Amino acid sequence: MFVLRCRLGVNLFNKKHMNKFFEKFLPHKKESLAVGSAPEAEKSNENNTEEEINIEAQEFKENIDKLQAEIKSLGNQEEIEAALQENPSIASRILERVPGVAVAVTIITGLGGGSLSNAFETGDIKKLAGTLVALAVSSVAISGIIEFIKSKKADKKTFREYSSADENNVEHPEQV
Amino acid sequence: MTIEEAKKLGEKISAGQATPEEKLLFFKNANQAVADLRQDVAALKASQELKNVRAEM
Repeated sequence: MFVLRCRLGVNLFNKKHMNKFFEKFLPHKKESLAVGSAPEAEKSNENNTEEEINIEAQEFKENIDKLQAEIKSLGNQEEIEAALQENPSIASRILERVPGVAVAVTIITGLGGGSLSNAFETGDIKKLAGTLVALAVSSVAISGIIEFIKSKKADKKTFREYSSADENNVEHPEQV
Repeated sequence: MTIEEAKKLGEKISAGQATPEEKLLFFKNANQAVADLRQDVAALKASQELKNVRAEM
């Protein structure tokens, strides 16, 4: 009997006080270590990640809107190409940003990864100017693609659904 | 992030196989990329404006 009481006491102490302990001293560990809260912690982590995704996606959309306006202010494709030709250091700096820009721009514009990689790998200014113009005019694509990335059931079918509206609205430059 | 990692992440997202954490990583990288691009575009714009001022002088 004594043993049973002791075990019951220890269990109650554990659940009550361990949760309090983690909450007070190790708030970042609470979710993963607290007694009896694993599924809730997992759900909470998932919600936090989704919330973060939404915040980052919103920021992404806002930044893209600003970037598009800024690219458009540079003029048409020929003018952008001329500016890049006259500023080879800026052009090569853009080309050096391959990893991040390639992923972002490829998915945003819906362009084939091959053509974009080609622009970066060959250092082709004309293609780079075309990519910037495509980025500036593909506002519908951006919203669609963001929703696609965020969607839980993202697959080829949903991608087509999200991006199908883009085909009629996005003017992809021939050279890209 | 290396070019190979970036390509793999892009492929995973396109295939609908990315986890929420990978999607978050994508957006963070994309935001950084856009911020960098905006700086470059601002530099190009400044160069154009300087050229115009010189042409007017």
